[in-house]
Amino acid sequence: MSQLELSKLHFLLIDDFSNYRAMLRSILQSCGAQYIDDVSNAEDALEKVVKVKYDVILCDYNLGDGKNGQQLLEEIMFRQLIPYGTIYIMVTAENTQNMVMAAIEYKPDGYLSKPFPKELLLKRLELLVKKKSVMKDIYRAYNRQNYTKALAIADKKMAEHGKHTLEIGKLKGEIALLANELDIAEQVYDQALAVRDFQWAKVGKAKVLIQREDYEDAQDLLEDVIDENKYYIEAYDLLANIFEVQGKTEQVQKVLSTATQISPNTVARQQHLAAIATKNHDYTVAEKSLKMAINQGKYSCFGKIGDNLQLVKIYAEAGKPKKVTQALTAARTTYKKDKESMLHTQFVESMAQKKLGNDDRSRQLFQQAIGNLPGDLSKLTKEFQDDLITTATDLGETELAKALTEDINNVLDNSNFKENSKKYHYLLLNGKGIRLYEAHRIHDSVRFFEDAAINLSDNISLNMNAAQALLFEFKAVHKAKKAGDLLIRARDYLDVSKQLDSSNEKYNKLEKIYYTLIKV
Amino acid sequence: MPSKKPISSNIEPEQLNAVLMSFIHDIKNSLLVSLNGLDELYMAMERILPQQEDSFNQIQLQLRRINSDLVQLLSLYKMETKLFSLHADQYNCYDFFDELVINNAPLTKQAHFSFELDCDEDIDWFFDHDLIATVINSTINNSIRYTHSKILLCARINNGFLEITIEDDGDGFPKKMFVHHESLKTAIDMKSGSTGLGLYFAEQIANIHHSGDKKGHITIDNNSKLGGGRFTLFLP
Repeated sequence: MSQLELSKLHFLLIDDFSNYRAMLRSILQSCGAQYIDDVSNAEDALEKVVKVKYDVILCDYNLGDGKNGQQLLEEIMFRQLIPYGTIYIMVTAENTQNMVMAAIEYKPDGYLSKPFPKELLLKRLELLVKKKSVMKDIYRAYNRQNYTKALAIADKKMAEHGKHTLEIGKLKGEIALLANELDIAEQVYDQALAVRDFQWAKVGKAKVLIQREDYEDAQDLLEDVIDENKYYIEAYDLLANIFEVQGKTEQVQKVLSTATQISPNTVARQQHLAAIATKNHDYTVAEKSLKMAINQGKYSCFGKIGDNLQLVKIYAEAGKPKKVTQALTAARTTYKKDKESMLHTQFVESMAQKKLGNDDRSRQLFQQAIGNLPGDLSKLTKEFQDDLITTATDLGETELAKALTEDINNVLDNSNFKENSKKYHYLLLNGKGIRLYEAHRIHDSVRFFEDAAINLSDNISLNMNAAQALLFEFKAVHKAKKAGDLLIRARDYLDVSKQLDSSNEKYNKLEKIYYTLIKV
Repeated sequence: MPSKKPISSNIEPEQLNAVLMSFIHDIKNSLLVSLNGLDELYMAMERILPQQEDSFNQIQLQLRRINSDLVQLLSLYKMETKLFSLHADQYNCYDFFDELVINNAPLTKQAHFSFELDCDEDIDWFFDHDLIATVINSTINNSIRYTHSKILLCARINNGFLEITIEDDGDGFPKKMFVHHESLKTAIDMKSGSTGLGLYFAEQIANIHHSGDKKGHITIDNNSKLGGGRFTLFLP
């Protein structure tokens, strides 16, 4: 019987079948376990792990609707919700480890395939508890980013030549890479390779070579690994990075395409592939990988609204209004609880309507969305910021785009929601003026320009626009003796412009026009 | 009158293989559900007669055998179609074999066989965990069918190879099994219905494990110290 003391360990059981949870619970209790929690789905499990520090998590791979066991593990690891010491065991229904499992990045500490005898569970637990305790000190230093200390402890443990020497070696290599101690890392991997052709050691060595910008040798090693084990997914990602640094985007796409065929459920890689394919103008591949990212992203912490919106843009570019609507609906359904995402969606909808030729609808959506922007634009996601500027630019709102760019980059300024909102409103009026002016409706444009210039009096462009519109209006009507005070009003805006920047080229041109007109 | 065409005329052999493989996956899933149900049934029974116990053992053994055959078929298919990859890494042999013994213990315990492991605790070796587990499990399944009372699993390092031996006190291998099979075709004797599939599979798995110019291989003989058959897997 096992020497393991279960009575002090905290267990969390995750399985959608209550019978199975009850069975596991009774097995553990019969072996002395006292603290056992069980939940039926990933959401409840997340709530639990935030509150309780578990020693052992036993999670079924298949959890019905929602996240599966792997996606739960990814989220837990990515958000660092459990300490290193926690043992995560994945329970699978297949009795051979699925190839998909072999191709994943976040690996559990162990697998158990159903059905298993309780002795096997106990044996696994015992081994893992021992292994964790050997590696504990290294990880503690590593988590505190004290790499020098972590490496020193690793050396000490390796000198003991215990059971986990190789495992510690692997970890030492990773830490050395993180600490940018390339010589140490290389030594670790060379030593391992002298013993055997370890795939992990070849990949590690390739990482060292990439850091040294020796891309050719790194590429050779990685292709070697893939040749032997086409499921070694990390090797593909590294190859893709090598090609990307060298600007070989076609090859990046090829490598990532192969990798996503082998391991289609990794959201981040699908996102990477979509971005590269878009760069390569291969919209078929981009569409496919975005759809995959969106589907998998629903249950993953790596899912983001940007994927849905990228798909909207691709459909708009291709002139497919129905698909645009579908993609927008999907985005709004998934992210309805997130205010920022919903607003972002509206800007992209505006962008898409513009692309589809529906200028009025586009402008209407844009104007509405601008009014709902938060005070501090610097906190929006990078993608939102980019889309905001692009939409404004696409709609010809140059002044507004400029102001938005300034607000996005102006982190120090105590952004004032009301003031910004007012500013954007008058900049939009200025934009309206420009469109009327360009349509030769100068008379109609004047009131928009003046409204904008009076309310944002420190903006030279608006003042010059108002002056210009008034001067040209004067030119058009003075023969009919209807000019009234047009020139006097223009003088006011010219004076303000002069105060703001008397050397401005456009201002000086307008002054000349003013003087010619005043002589008439 | 249109001429009669054979039904399969528009199916490519490759497609047919893929269809067969997906059927095998399906059967395998059903099997696992059945095995699970059988376990639960066994646990739920308060009293069990020796005869019933025998039936349980028989069903469980047969289900496991089918499962192990299917796993081998799937692996062979992958090898033929280049879908195959070697996931070799270094493992502690004692832990690896101990888990195999534990996993098979319910079966041997129910059948009242003794099943022992002889392996030093500090041996580490380099192999594909899942593939070797499949080979060993299948061999153990076989031994359970033919042994009288004992099965012994040994692992030791000799001449740069890991030698894994599974032996029993049964009647040993029949003579016709000692033919070396070069290919799947000769391994399967359609007339007698006896297949050397398990051995052919084991040989293939052994062969893809190599280190330098050394290659893995298997032997079978009837020189077990227990008096029955002996299967040895050599991994470089």
